[in-house]
Amino acid sequence: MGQPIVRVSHVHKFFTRGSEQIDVLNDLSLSVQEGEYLGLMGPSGSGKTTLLNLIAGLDKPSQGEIRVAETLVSAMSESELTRWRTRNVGFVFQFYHLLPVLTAYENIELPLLLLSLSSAERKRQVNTALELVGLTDRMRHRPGQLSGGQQQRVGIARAIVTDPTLIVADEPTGDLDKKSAEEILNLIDELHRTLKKTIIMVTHDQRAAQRTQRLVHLDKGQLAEADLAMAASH
Amino acid sequence: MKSFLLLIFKNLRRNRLRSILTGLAVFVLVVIFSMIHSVLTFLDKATQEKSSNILLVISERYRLPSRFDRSHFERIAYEGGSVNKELRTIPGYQPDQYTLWHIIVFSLDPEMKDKDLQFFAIATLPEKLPTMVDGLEGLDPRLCALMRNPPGDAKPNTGILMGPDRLKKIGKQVGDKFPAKTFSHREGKSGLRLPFDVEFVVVGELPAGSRWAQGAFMVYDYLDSRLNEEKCELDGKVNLGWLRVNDKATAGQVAALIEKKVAEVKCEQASSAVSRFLEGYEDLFTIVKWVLRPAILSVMAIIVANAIGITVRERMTEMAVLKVLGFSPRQIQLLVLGEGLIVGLVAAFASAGATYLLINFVLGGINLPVAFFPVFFVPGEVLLIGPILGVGTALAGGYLPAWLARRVNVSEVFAKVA
Repeated sequence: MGQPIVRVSHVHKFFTRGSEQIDVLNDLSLSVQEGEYLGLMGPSGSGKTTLLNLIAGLDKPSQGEIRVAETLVSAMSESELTRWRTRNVGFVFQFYHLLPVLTAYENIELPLLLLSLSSAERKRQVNTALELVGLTDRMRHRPGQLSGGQQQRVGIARAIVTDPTLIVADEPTGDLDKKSAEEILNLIDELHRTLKKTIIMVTHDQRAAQRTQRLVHLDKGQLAEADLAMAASH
Repeated sequence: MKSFLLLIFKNLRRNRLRSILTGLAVFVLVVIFSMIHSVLTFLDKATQEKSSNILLVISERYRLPSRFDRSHFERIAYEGGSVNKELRTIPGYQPDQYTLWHIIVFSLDPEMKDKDLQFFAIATLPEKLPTMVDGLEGLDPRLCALMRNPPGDAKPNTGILMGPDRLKKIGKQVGDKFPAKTFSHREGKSGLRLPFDVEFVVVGELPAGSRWAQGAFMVYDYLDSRLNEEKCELDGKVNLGWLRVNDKATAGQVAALIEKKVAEVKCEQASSAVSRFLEGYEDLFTIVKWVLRPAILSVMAIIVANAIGITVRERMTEMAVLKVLGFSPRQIQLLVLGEGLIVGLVAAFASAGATYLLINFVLGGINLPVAFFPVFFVPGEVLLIGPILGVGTALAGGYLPAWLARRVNVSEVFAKVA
């Protein structure tokens, strides 16, 4: 493992509901090393998904800084973040969120449409991603014709097809049965091993958590004490 | 671009019923709009004052329908006439460009009941048809000659030119010789005021798809001789006279002179005459122009807005996913707008094309007797206006839903989903 690729520094995040301010993250600091496979756990409402969204550039902190590969993500405008995300972040959703009108191939190809690639290059990258997730024989199927596990594999392929700096996964096994969940976790392990990708995964699943290299617990918007000590040592 | 369009088409196919119904609504509304536009455009053109090569119409000053002695017209238009001598001194007056009209209705039905066997004809000077009647500029002069001297054993001046739609209705074709009875004019000999007989030979057709497709022109001299023989009270009368001048200034001078010298008639630009005749319809046209047409456009936009709005609400999560993947708000907006645009464009184009072909070439025009115009045709510009309207209303209707789609808050959407 190398230098920290993700640096979260004294981040606060609150939401406003009417006149009430709801604090989700409180002065949170965290680093993730390059190539690390990090798990985020915590009870509901602890801020895990919010932290993930901030790191992935889907939202901005109310205070504090977030850097990803030295890019100050927290200071970017929405349009800058949109462009940055395409190349730098691969997102794996709990409910897959594939476009139902597109085939597996077309769903995986979607992020590549935003890059300046020829159709031949796009085809090559999509086929590579399909091979990595083992779904080449299903490329012409629509999501409705795939099982939950297969849909999640398409989701993973879509996340890696642009060769992003960072992969974030929000409960990737949350909607799967035990067997499919195991397959997905194996796949993520494989990707981590072969592609050396930095992966941050939010999970409630203990089996998934055990696969990670480091586990961080959040509670009421802050890191748990043990994790604080570990974060300080990083 | 190709992939974007593919995504738009696939999304349209997702809910085919909604897309088809939206397109159908746009189709029907464009048909209605096109028909209204056709009538209003035609009337606008007819009432628009020209600036050169102007037609002047002479009509009775104090009565409608206009009917005045032919002798007045002869003084004005014929060489040697007392007014004509003065008119020839006005630069811009075209001395050879004149004609007269006497309008009459005939029937082929011996019992005079079947409306389909009736036709109205304008008795006129056949040689002047190509130069004095709008819409007949390309008429073959040989047809005019045939009206005076029809082939075979037909009597002189019994030739008639008729529009193809009217010929079809009465079951006749070029070359047919047929008798007819006068429907509007009655004999005065017997005191019973009976219709009297005439006979015609169809020597040619008036242009199809024109305002004359349902009309007919006959030789004035033949009508005049029959009216005289039957001692009809309309003998020696004409309904309208026509002159042509070069420009508006000449038109003013000619009209002033005629009205000064011949108290029984008035003279004005043809467009003004039509305008005056349409005054009674003014309120109706105003409502159609400024209320009905905008209402149709608004309804089209609302229908598209409704369809796109439902689509966006159903697919908020998808919009959020697209944003996560890196689609910019503008691209998401365009994807949504694109769906409305395609439905609007395709439906409006199909509608405009179908309206144009069906009304002009199948139905023979919009049957709406207004003023002297029994039928209206759809102008070619509708083929362009229809699609523009479709695109415009789709943009107007789709803008707000598309704007909402681009503003989708990713973290809020996924929080709700979770």
